Amino acid sequence: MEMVKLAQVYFIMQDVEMYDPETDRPMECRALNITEDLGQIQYIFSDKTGTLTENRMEFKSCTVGGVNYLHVPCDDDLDSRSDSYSHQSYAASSRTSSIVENLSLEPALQRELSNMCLRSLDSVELTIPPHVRRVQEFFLLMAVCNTVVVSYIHEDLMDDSGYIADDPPPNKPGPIKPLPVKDTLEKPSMNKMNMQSSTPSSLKSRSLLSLSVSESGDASESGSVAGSSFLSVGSQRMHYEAESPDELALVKAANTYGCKLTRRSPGKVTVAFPAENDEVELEVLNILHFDATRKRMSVIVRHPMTRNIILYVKGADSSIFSVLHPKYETDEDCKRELKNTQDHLDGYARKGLRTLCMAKRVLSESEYQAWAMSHKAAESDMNEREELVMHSCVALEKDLELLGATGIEDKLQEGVPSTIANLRQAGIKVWVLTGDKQETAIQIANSCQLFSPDQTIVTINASSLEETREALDNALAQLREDQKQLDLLADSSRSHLGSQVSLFSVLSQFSMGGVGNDAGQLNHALVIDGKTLAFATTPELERRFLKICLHCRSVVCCRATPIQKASVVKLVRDNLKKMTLSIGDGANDVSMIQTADIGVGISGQEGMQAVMASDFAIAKFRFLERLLLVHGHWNHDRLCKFSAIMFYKSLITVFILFWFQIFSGFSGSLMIDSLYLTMQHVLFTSLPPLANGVFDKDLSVETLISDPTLYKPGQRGEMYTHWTYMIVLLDSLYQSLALYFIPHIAYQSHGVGLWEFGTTCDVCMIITILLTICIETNSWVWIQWVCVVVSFVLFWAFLLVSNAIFFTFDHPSNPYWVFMNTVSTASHSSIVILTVFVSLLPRLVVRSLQISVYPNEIGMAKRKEKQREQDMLLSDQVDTATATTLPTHGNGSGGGRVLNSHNPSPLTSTPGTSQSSMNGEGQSELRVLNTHLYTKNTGPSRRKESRFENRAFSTSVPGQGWRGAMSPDSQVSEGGGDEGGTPSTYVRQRSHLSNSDNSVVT
Amino acid sequence: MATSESSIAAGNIQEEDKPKSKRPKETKFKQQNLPAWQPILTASTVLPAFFAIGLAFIPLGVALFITSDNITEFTFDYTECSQVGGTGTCAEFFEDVNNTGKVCNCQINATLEKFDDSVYVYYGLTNFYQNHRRYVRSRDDDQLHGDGVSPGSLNDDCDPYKTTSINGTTFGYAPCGAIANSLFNDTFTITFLGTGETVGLLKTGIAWKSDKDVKFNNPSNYDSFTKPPNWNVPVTQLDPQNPDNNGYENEDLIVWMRTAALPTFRKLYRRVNHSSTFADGLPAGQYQIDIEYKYPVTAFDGTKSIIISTTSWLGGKNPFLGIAYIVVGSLCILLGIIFLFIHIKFGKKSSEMINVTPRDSY
Repeated sequence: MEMVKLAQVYFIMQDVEMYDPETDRPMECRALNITEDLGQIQYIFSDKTGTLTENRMEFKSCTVGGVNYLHVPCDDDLDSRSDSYSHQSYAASSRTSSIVENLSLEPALQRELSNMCLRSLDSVELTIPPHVRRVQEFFLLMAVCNTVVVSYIHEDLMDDSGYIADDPPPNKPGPIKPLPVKDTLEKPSMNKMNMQSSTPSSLKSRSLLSLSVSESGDASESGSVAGSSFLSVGSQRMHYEAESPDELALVKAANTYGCKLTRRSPGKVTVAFPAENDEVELEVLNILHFDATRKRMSVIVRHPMTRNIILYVKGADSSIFSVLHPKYETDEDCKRELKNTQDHLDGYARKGLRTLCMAKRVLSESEYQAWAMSHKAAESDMNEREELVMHSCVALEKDLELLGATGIEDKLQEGVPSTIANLRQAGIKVWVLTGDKQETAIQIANSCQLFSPDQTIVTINASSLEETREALDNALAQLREDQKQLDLLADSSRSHLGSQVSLFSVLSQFSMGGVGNDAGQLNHALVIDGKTLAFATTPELERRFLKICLHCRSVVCCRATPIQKASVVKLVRDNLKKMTLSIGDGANDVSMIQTADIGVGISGQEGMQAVMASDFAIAKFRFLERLLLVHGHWNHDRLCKFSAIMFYKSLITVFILFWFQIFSGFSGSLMIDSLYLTMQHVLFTSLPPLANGVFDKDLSVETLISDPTLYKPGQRGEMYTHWTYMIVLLDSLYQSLALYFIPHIAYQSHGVGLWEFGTTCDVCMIITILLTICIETNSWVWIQWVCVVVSFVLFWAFLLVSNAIFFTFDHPSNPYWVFMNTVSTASHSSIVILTVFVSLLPRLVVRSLQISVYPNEIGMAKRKEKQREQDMLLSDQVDTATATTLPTHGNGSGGGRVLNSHNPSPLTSTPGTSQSSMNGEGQSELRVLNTHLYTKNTGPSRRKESRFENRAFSTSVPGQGWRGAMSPDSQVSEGGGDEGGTPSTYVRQRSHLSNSDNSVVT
Repeated sequence: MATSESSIAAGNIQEEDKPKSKRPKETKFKQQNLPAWQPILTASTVLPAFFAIGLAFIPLGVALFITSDNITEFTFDYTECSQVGGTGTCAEFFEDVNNTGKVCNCQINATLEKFDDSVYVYYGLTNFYQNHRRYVRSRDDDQLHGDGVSPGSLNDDCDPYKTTSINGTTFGYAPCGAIANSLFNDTFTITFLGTGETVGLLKTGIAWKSDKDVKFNNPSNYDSFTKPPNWNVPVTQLDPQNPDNNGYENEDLIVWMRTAALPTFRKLYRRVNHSSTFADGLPAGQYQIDIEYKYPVTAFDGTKSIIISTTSWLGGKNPFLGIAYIVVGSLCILLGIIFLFIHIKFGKKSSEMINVTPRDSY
């Protein structure tokens, strides 16, 4: 058993489909003994950041002083994002729009920042409008208020890029002289900002050098571990290293706007401003580090000119808003500003952006000194240092002046929506447990198809136990009502589905969307926040909570602490007795990963803690699909069969020996040489089950991926039930009866010796076991053939050899020549043939009847696969036939069942489409279209258009993976094919759909 | 363009780093993509096999049955055979403990049909558990192999027939163990009353050659060994006529030592010496069988019988195999017909069924 699992693990790890070329990480199995559990997962608990998303933060928008600066992405950007596959093209497109960060600069912001210099930050200076000052201060904060470390890597240009630039680097690095390179970088942003943002190509000749440098930096960034990024300053390469990707994104964004963090050392930071030639040194007096309770961090800097002491604070919106200056509650302007900011923040969250708020506070010298004293005291405290430091931080972080807020996008990992959709189709419930804000979490859940538009979202937020109970009860009541309504709906079959929209709220904490599900099942999604979760998971309420969860198809827990994540997992695992899987990437997911039955770590950006704690480590979330649906299914199936065979093998041996006891006075006598019995399990019948346990595939990868519902039998534990064992038991009982009594009766009146009888029984038994394994084998690769043959040969050879040598250590049997004397008799062979056949007969009959008459899901898929194979062969023939008879276009009747999966590209053999039949004409037409699309696809000029077509044709266009078959469009096209109609209209219909020029088709 | 070229060059550098890559090798073996044959057992695929097997089994069964049927066999249970010159049966004779070890003579008159070819004489025992675990173990193969085993080093499984003490000296039993001790020792003499000739019975050639040549060898001497308690003669005098058929190599002993698998068994007693009158087997007619009844079986509710039988390539007379083959063959044909029916009825239906992709229901 362990050997099988070990081999399975090896092959999972070797799967090239789960290898991530970006991070050079293959699949990694850290636990060796739970491969079969992968086939039974019912609940997946997923972290959001870094798991569903890439955790590669991108600065997307900001709001300063109540003014929203939306960074509307340029078309190029949008384009490359929609096609989530090619990272290369993504990099290419980002290069053209901006240099450092994939960020289209906001003209207004650039204007306001253009004259940013030290002087302008002086709060006393009145020539600058306060808003502009604020913006500038905001960016200074972005650059300064962090723990990003800047490092320089000395590298020659040549080494860097492998290319010797014709124009030598003209710069002599030094802080005083304005650097030409810097100049080229900045100038567009300063002087030509409008032009630059609209036509990036205007840069090309002037900033060629800088572009090449930054590009190589860009390239290395995409390949390197994130959390660091290279920026070029002359031949020196600036390299940001940050603890969190958020900080990195902020610093990079500030950098893009010209407000550069160039150096950080203890006690000071060096910043370059757009309108300042020199780099400016700011004295950093204190850094108040981030902690989970405060949820904010701050730095205290001294303005070099005014000597003002300023506290810059950055943190989660709730944590900042709670410590704002009282004037925000009284002053009208401030109130409005706060409200605007809040609105913008909500907007960001709805877009799935991570939000951070920035605030500042000017401290007086005396105030600071006083605080510094106490803080020092707190820091030097031996016993309660952490708590004291926190309190001292809290003491200072008050009366803050709001500067603004940022929205950082955390991109969804590629393939996440389709993966989640497939997993859900496979009957797996996906829960997202995240530390993020509710709005962000919901947005992400929406965008990764966790919530479908027709789903009713149940939100439970409460701040006390009582409230929670009330909310839970209400939700339950509502769910019951909905269920009733649905039942009613189903009963009366009235067609006013749309009118079911029911909006209601309880205590303004409980809201519902529309009901639009026509299936007889509830389609709700639950959103619950961390605070409520804490109450809901108390023993008192957990039953209600679970009841609600059971009714919901997806659950999102936001603002959940690591311990809460674990407790939710534990709740489900223990109370529902379901197989759970946790997936996460960060240290905060460790507890959740450890709690679940299977922990999957994403070897991503947030270090290795999650991977260390996990059972399986994958590089991307989308690999989970393959891990579960393919490997999980296979391994579960294999292990079920393996253990059933093992069980069967032992049973049959025991039964045969038992039947003999009846005729040997129940003395425990053996007729089969104990030596054979020992070897039987070790050698004679062990290899084929092992080989099956590793290599047997009941269904192909394509089938399993294309039809996730095939995962369900494993999940329901259908392959491994009491019934399976009952059947194995009955079969082995029957087989042992046949195996014992046929030789018994046949030998009865002969003077058969004990060991001859045993030899015949053993030969029958081994052959029967081996053939039974053969019957149970789904797919035969040469290894399995070899194993079966080797096992039998080994058995035969062992008997021959052991019976040819005289030895007496195997008391009481003295097998010398027994085997030869037995086998040479005709009765032996006739008994063996009869016995083996009679033993196998029921299994053979049942198995073939099962597939013919009552096929289960897997059996059906299996037959479909077979059918497809045959059709493929057939279509190959027909293909050549139609190729020759194409001009005369024979009508479909001759073609029979022809599939469009005959396409030369292997990717196009999508199982889902294979059933649609069409005749030769339609096929050839489609092929013409395909090739057309293919060429179009390769041309970058019309990328967008061709992609659109791609989607419409995803079932048949080469270059689009099987995943294309999942898209709804493909189903539409499939349906079109099935519904019939002449094939030509079918194609035309589709070309209509795809907006492509019809001339190509007709 | 410097930009594009430099990026290509950077790409090349990455390319060179490839050997260090952890990318799994894309071999068919590692990707589990080896070409596979996926047979699916359906009614239609199994159907021809059933017909073929059925058609093969029935003639085979008929052949087996005829072969078995052609074997001539005579069986006589002589457990309750009456004592010649005595009052009761030999079974009763041995109920008297005093008669243990004595001989009870008895006589059977039988009319035999003609026995063709080689004729063998067997003794058959019932309810005799030669396969009992302790009985099976109660032997010493090294001793029988002729290795000079000392009485002390005899296999402990031989107990209580391992050693005995005579006048204070320890003697081992030759051969030791319960199997040897219970050696069947009745003797048969068959007389053809038609001519008054005694059927010549050969004592050799009844054991496996491998047993006689390798497994059973005589030791250099039998010093410090004595005969088993139930025996009347020592192992060296088992065959008074043929000195080569004595000791552990005695074929009666060898046949007996090959323990039977089932409690009802027969063992080869003698081969008929096919000479003069009996050259072509046994002629039909009246026979008299004189039995030296020495082996008590009623104590364990057993019976014993004498069996005179011809043989065939298949062994002894047993119609079971032939009948079984015919039955199974017929069953296969029947199943084949049923499957044909199923194939016709469900074959089409299921091909329609599989056209419905599971996703359609969504």
